[in-house]
Amino acid sequence: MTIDWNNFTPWASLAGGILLGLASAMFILVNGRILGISGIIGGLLRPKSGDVGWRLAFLLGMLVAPLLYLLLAGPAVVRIDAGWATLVIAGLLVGVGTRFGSGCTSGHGVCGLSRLSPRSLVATLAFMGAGFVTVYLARHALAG
Amino acid sequence: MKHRISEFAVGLLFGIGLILSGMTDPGKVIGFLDLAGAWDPSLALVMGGAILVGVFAFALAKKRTTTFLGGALHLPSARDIDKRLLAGSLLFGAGWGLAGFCPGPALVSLGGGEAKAAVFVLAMLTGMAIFEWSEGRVHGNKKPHSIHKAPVTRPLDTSFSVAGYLQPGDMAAMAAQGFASVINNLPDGEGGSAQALSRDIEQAAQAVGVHYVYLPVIAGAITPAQVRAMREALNTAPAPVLAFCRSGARSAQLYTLSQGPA
Repeated sequence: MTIDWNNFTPWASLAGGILLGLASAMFILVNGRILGISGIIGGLLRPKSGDVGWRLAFLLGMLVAPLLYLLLAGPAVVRIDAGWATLVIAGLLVGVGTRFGSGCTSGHGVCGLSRLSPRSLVATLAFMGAGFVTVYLARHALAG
Repeated sequence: MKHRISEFAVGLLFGIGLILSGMTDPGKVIGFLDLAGAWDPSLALVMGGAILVGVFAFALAKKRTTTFLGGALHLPSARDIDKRLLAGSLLFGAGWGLAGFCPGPALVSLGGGEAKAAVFVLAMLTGMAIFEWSEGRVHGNKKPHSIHKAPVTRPLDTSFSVAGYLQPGDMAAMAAQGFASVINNLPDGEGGSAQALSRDIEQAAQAVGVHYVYLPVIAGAITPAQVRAMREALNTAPAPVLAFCRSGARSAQLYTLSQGPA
């Protein structure tokens, strides 16, 4: 293993992580909800009365975030190497997987681990492990 | 409206955090997941920073029963580690590694106008819809073991009735009978794992617009504090009220005590 020092951004990543933690903290303590993106989106596919407004308000905030970031700090780097077909397959896997697994990077990875939930620890180890293996296969083992 | 604004603000803060941290750049995510190549450990610090704050917030949340605004605190209660959790998380991880997108960052990049993120989000929504469809099929095909009869309610007063054990599925029928509030006097777990949990009954009650109070009491061991809580619940809950336990006897006894001298 070699460390990619050129792309290493410890301070920005740590500061960004702290903002994610603060947002999760506010969401549970002020709004009473777990900040888990897949669950918040998934709940809209089987809507219940009185359970839609908060989801839409939160998701709208996320959609507007890039605009605010652009105004404050300039354009963000987004490098999407995956082709269209890969994006569709990956999207389907992420959609099905996060719902069957009851969470994603935010719900299990941030909130679940912060709650010291063994269930979320298992989920996080599983999706991180699968991510490592997938990238290894795609970039090294199967790459021509 | 106050709630909607704060939820919007939290979404905005979370989105900014994702962009600043580098999570919205799939190239960086794959750099982190690529242990065999030139490894960029930045994203470990994202999770570390988030949990550093989160641990304190959730420790505080566990000690509270309501939010700072006085609303309900929805903490997860699922604890089971099963095949479903594992298989789902493995599929998610594979998709995450393929494109470098997980749900939150994909949504933020969609907001930033990335066409590829839009395609990913569309496929993700399709995946979630497939999950809902398969859930519906599983539950829809399940034949009920026995036909559950509508529970019998017994009026003790013009605006108060009692009933035996009620399940989440009974709440719609109780709402149709005109009850505005349901008080559950049956402790969770008393009847073993077959008994519905209070939170599920609460959810079903709220879904049909019925006010819900959980006030568990043990048969033959009703305390003065519980009698006071019952009086309080009867004073504040919209009428007519229906209380239930296993047979209805405890609820009736609690009601009688609550109508006595304070």
